[in-house]
Amino acid sequence: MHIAEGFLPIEWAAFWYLASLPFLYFGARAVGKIFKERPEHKLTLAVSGAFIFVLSSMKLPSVTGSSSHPTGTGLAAILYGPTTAAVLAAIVLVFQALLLAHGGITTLGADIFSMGIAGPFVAYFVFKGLRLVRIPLGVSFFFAAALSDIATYVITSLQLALAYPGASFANSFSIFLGIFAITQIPLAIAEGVLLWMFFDYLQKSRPKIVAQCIGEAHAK
Amino acid sequence: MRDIYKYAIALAFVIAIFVFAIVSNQNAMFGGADVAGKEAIAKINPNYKPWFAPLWQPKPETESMLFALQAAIGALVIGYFIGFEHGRKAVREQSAQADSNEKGRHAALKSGQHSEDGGHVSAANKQEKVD
Repeated sequence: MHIAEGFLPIEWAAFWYLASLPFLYFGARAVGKIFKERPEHKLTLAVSGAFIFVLSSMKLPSVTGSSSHPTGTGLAAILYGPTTAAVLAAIVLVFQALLLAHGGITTLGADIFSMGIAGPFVAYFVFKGLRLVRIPLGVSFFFAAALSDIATYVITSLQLALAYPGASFANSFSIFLGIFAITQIPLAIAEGVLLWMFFDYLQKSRPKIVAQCIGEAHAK
Repeated sequence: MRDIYKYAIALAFVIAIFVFAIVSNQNAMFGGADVAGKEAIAKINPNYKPWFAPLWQPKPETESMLFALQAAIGALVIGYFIGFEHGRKAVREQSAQADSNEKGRHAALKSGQHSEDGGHVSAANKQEKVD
């Protein structure tokens, strides 16, 4: 989902930076609030960030100018809200852009938007929606995590199609989407299963923390 | 114990997906996706040239090392948490056992039995319940 350095025209690079900034602002405030008001959640917050570190390092080659890997943002988004996940994902993306030349400084805004914002928001709302119609916790969690991974790649395809519309935007979008789908659907299922395992464990180990998180994950 | 089987099956499933992805990477299907991507960008916009180069490009070995480092940082935190929880649970069980030892001893003294034995039996019973 990373778009390689320089692969977005400057106006799109600027656009995605501007689109991401407000989410990062609210995310930074949300993280600060957790540290101040719920210090007992620091460890679980760190662990949900750690999953983004681990899963987003499992990289497979895909479309030129981009790459395929799980994102791992679903856990943080569901436990601590999508803007918090945006901040955690941004940390990983900066690390990768500066040290790994994976993604880039010019495409950082776009990468944060797809992986740190679109994915987590989808995870959060899919989870809430499924819980609303009383789908079991574990099943809801699996679909939320897997769909957030897919959503990230749909947005990357959208970003590439907007930058390279060619003859028609729709045509370009479906081309990028078709290429990503091959590698991404199995990875999304793997991501859903991995995150579900940890969520299941966490729920048994720290039922109170999980209940607090699910109850007030999006409290502003 | 049931959980361990559940997690083992889930993990085997994930490994199977990754193995499938890596194995199919070597033949037509995955190569096809890669080539299709190249063709897609070239067809849509053959003249586009990246306008900004990475400030620093690690060598492939360094890149792999840094990716491994990234995964290691994450795995370290997750491992710390699981170890922490494991220790917490052990301490909780130990103190529960100590409590029941106390109670067992008191009960044994009251009923005039041998205090040590009574304590141990009751502690063992209690632990079975906890588990």
